[in-house]
Amino acid sequence: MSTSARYLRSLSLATIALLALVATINLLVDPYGLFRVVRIDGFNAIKSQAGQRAVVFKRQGAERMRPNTLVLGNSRAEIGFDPQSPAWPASMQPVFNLALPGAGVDAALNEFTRVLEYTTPKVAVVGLDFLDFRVDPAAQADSTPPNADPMLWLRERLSALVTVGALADSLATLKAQHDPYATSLTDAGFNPMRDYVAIARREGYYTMFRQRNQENAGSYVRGPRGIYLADGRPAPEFRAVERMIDIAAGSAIQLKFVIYPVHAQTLVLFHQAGLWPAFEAWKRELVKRVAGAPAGASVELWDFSGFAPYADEPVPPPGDTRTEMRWYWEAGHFKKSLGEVMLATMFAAPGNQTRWGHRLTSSDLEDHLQRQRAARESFEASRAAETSELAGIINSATSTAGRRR
Amino acid sequence: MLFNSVVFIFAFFPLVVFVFFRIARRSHLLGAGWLVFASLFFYGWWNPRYVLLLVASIGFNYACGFYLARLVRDRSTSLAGWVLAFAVTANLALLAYYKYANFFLQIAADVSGHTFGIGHVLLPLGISFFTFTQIAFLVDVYRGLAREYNFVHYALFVTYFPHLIAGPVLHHKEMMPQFQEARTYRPDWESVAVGLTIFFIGLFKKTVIADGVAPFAGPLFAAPGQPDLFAAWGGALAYTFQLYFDFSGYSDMAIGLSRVFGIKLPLNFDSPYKAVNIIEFWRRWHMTLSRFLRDYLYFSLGGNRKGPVRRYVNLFITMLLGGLWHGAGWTFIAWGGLHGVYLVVNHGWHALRQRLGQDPERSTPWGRAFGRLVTFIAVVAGWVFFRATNFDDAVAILRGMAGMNGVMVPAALTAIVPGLRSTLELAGVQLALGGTTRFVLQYAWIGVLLPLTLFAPNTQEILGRFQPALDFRGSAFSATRFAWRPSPTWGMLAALIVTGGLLSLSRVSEFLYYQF
Repeated sequence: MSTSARYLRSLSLATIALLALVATINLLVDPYGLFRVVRIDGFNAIKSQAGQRAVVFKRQGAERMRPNTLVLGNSRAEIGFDPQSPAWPASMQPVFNLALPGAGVDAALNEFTRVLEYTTPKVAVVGLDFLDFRVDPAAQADSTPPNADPMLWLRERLSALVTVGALADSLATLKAQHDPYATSLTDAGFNPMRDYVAIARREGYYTMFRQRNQENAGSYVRGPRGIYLADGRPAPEFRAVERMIDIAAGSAIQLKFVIYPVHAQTLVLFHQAGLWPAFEAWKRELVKRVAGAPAGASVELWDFSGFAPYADEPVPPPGDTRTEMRWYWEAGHFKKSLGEVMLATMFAAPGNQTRWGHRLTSSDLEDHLQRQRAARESFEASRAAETSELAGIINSATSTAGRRR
Repeated sequence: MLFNSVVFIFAFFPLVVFVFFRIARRSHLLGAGWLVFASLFFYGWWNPRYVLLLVASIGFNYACGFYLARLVRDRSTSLAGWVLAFAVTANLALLAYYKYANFFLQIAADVSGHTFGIGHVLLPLGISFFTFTQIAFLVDVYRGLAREYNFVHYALFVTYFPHLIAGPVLHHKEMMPQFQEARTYRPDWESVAVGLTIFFIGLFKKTVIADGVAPFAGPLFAAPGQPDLFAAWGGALAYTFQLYFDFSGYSDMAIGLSRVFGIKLPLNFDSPYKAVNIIEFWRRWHMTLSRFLRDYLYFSLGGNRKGPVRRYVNLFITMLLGGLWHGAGWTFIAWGGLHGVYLVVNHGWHALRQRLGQDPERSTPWGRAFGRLVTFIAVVAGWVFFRATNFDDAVAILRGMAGMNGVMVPAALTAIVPGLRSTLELAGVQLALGGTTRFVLQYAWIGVLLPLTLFAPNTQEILGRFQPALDFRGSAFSATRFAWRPSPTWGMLAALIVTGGLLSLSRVSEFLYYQF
């Protein structure tokens, strides 16, 4: 055998050995919970990197659990509703949080229908985000769904075994086992935001609020301002809401739509960015759909997007890294403590609800919207400095957007 | 089909190599024909319709070349000139339609106030490359430097899949003789070992380094705003390294793939960021394009034969058109023009030193270090135009790099050193909310890649003992014991590179030079 042939043999064997080593590490550590070969506390029990492949991790987890209660929505729901919380009535256990960061209502519908292929939950709590319903009037109402990838199953597993990303995530998972602030997803799909605890202690809540407000303001001023197409039809996303209502009615599933309790600063930014009329129109459209649910269906729409007594929680001043906020991580994401208050409201016996959160119906919708407007004006007047700072953020975002045009 | 895709590495390429050597045992011409077929399949994987365009272009140019050769042989110089002008015009018209039509119509619309539209034209991959190689062929036939070739060999020269999409820009006189050599058609373990090693070094450069640093460049150019000093330099440097490792990685892969067939391609990169002046930079960056522009544009314009002023004008025009070759946009023209100015200044400086009795090729170590620094900064500033979406963005980034938007560091970093925060605030440095991890990672990448590009040996130097490319002249490193050799120990070391490249295949991304 020539020296070159010996070189190629050594190269091939060493490459195969290295790839096998990497695959074995990834298989055993299993950073995305795909293989479940071993689960050892202190080795791989905490899945700090599962969020990288949240869709696969959660789909598998839900299928294993076959939950009675399903949480759907985006990151606000993922972070806000802990399936292990005692606030869930015992009859609704087990609960699985299938909310996915960045997911719109179409994605939530997709997950809902997938779950129904193997189980029928009793309850579905579905978070609705106004921002997902904004639409460019010139957009086409009909969109083509992406082609299904027939190789997806294999591709997902290969990429979880023999990629540098998976190896990095395996090493990060090993390191995270003894890190109290490592990010993670629980087996029930909840994100406890342990990493945010560390960030809040290092940079302070003010930093997190301001940074996210700046990012969000850019999207508010750049994005569409309405929820209607040019021909007057509402955004296509409403069809996903209608479809969920139909499915829930057909399968006798209790459906609880939740309008997220964003912090008052986000509501003020909506107002300053000129989104408030669309925000109200969106609620009207939702109420119409819930009111039009088939007879006998159990569909509720809960509006938690008010001000007092939770959403106006004061934000600690700049430089304060000691004060902890009780209800919010930043202006867009509420903590599970607030999620528990919401659950207590939604699942309380009739007449026993807390004074926060409002079940929207067509009979008192306009009064409710009027009260919220008044509450916003009151907040803006009583927290003038905060409101002015938010206006500065919107102005800066507007001028940046103008330059880019 | 991308070189850095699973289907290429594990299916297409092994199959093509296996079948080629099987067929070539019986007939060299059939072997070459198989490579032409495989190359057209490789091209058609992206868009089958444009295979016809490629085939038509080859047929047209071969026919013109054939006819031209006859005319030259028969000394019909005048008619030959007309035929050449017609053929070159046709080639440029094709390129102009697919690549520049919308750009020029937009200019016409801006000037006249009327709208002209031909709709969206999808740029055929590699059209700039296969047009240029064929124009060079035609010009050389006219000059009597090329003769009519075997059609299969000609088609292979143009379509040869290792270079088809993004170069190197091949020259017929360095390829045709290799297609005629009998040893090309016999498998050679040494060529396979050298070729695969070069290919996998290129794959590592692309998938691990270029794609790894890319996320630290993209956001700055996507939305520059008013970047501060660190943000502007961080993004510009990240792009500087992304582009180099992407394109030189691609070129290494092309050279390596071809070497498996025993066919040597010309070098395209020679550690360009080590250049001590901009003249040297262009001898080290995209070398085959520089060679083409020099031989077929700069010389055609008169080169340096008509006095120093015309020489500078010719140089500037060559670079301006070189910029336009990269893309139909004002930022590319500005980039080319900027490098034209750089070159004029550099040649002027050399002329001044000569007039003062100095040898411009000799400098002190400090002078060389200073030259390298100035050249590097000039090149990075040029890349800002090259990458920016528009002029305003480029200017905003350059202002940031000049410190005109202030200096900002993540507040959390100041906690590492006691008292640093107040010192920085006194110095006017702003403290950013968040972004600490990104800042640290971005500058960690830069901290690794800067010395790597400035001091590490390049691919051809590492493989220097085995004549890795056509025009490799050897280097001091190649003579050391650290240079590669086909031994089992090197096999295990190379396996680390191969494994790194293969493990990074999942994030498949296109090569930056595909768009040109």
